[in-house]
Amino acid sequence: MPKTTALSFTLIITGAPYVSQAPQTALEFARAVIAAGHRIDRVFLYGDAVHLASTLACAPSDEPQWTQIWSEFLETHRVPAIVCIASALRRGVLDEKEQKRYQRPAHNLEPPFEIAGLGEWVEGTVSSDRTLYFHPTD
Amino acid sequence: MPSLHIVNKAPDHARFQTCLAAVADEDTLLLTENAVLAAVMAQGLPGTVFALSADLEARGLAPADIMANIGRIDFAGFVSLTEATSRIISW
Repeated sequence: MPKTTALSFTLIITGAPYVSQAPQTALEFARAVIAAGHRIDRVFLYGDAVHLASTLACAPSDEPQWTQIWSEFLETHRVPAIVCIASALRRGVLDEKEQKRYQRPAHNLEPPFEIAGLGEWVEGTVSSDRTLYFHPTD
Repeated sequence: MPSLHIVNKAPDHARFQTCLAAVADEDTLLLTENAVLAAVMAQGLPGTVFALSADLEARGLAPADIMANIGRIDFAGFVSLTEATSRIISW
């Protein structure tokens, strides 16, 4: 049921899938935000969390495929998702543009994730009503 | 303005104690992920304290094991806590 005062959220994930619970906790929180009638302005992946945007990750079939699950959520609710370019390039997460720029043999960015700079993060923290971080536990 | 402190570190993690030291009486403390282990410990926790039920269940902590002054909340309750204040700190 929509709230009378809907809020906007920016979610920043810094923990990697499979080695931290951060992408899972962030997704359950994001689903509850939508269910409560609020809006998610954007999701931002920083540090090791950029692995969440790799379309080449293959978890065993009896484990959650976090990249695909997140991708479906973002598509369904039309939530923009930004991958920090400085974090992504170091960890081998590239879109087609960066593949060409660095002359690498492949690109692996799962849509609808986009690679962008820290300006997007600043924009999010300035314009959203709430900003939440999802960190690793170590 | 009261703050919402969200901690996901285990009680023996240095950041967990740093978090506790920063929680004022009027603040709310939310235990998530490994931090829910603190919900069954004798150590007193500051502020108004909640623990995420999914993380309690994932770690085999039954409602009867949890200290009486700690509220169990689901993700909808988590969202409600973030509605109440714009000062949110993730430790």
